[in-house]
Amino acid sequence: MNEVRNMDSITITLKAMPVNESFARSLIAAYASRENPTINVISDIKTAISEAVTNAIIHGYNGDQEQDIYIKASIKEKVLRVSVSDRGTGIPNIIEAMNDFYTTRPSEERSGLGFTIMGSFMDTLEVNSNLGEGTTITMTKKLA
Amino acid sequence: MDNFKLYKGKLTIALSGELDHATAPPLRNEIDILLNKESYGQVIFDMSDLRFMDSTGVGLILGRYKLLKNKNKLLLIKSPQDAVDKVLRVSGIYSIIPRI
Ligand SMILES: Nc1ncnc2c1ncn2[C@@H]1O[C@H](COP(=O)(O)OP(=O)(O)OP(=O)(O)O)[C@@H](O)[C@H]1O
Ligand SMILES: [Mg+2]
Repeated sequence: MNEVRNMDSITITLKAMPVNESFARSLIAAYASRENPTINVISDIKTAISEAVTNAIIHGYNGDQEQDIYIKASIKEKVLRVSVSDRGTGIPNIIEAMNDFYTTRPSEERSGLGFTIMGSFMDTLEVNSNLGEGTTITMTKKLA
Repeated sequence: MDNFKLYKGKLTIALSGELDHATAPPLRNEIDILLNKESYGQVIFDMSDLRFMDSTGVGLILGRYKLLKNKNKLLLIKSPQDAVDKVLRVSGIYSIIPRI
């Protein structure tokens, strides 16, 4: 318990509104900047957060802006750990969803690259999802 | 989108600011109006003032690429900043849309 309490962490809840995509990525970038990461590391984090939040809005909640997105971030030994959660639809087949170019929304000019980008821009990517319950994306990135 | 210029059959469209799911719809609309209205042989997306782009931007670019391909017109990408360039590289876009 002590360990958890002393950990440097933040938690925020945001409405699933598109305007919060840029807010969320800027916020996590600002939080990570305390370890003086390079501009490239900050850019990578921003892009990955944008992907996860956008997926929660579009796929998780199907555009219902009244729903909540939960973001948690912590820094331990110069490693950022960030999770983005929704309590939306969930993903039926995670392995399939994570394939390059796999999308369930080709008609909306989606190209199925969100997970590809999260996976290559961050050091680790973990996806937990249950149908009808929601999805949590957890990513880590070394800051220095 | 801030501006565009047409010179010797080249339609250059300057993208600026941040391109994501929140900003893409009006931009897509503006670009498509231009693409339908002007006459040109090739289109250049000048990305020098684009600070941020994610997969939504990739979708927008690929969508315009398909539109133009159907009209037998060429699409080119010009001067992306590092962060945007990385997204384009990881997406494999440069194998179909040349960077100049
Ligand atoms: N939070 C989520 N809730 C439910 N389904 C999701 C969620 N995130 C992703 N998915 C599913 O996984 C698929 C792949 O996601 P990914 O981000 O890679 O591609 P995309 O969002 O479809 O397209 P792009 O990100 O390139 O615009 C989505 O099409 C969707 O079916
Ligand atoms: Mg996506």
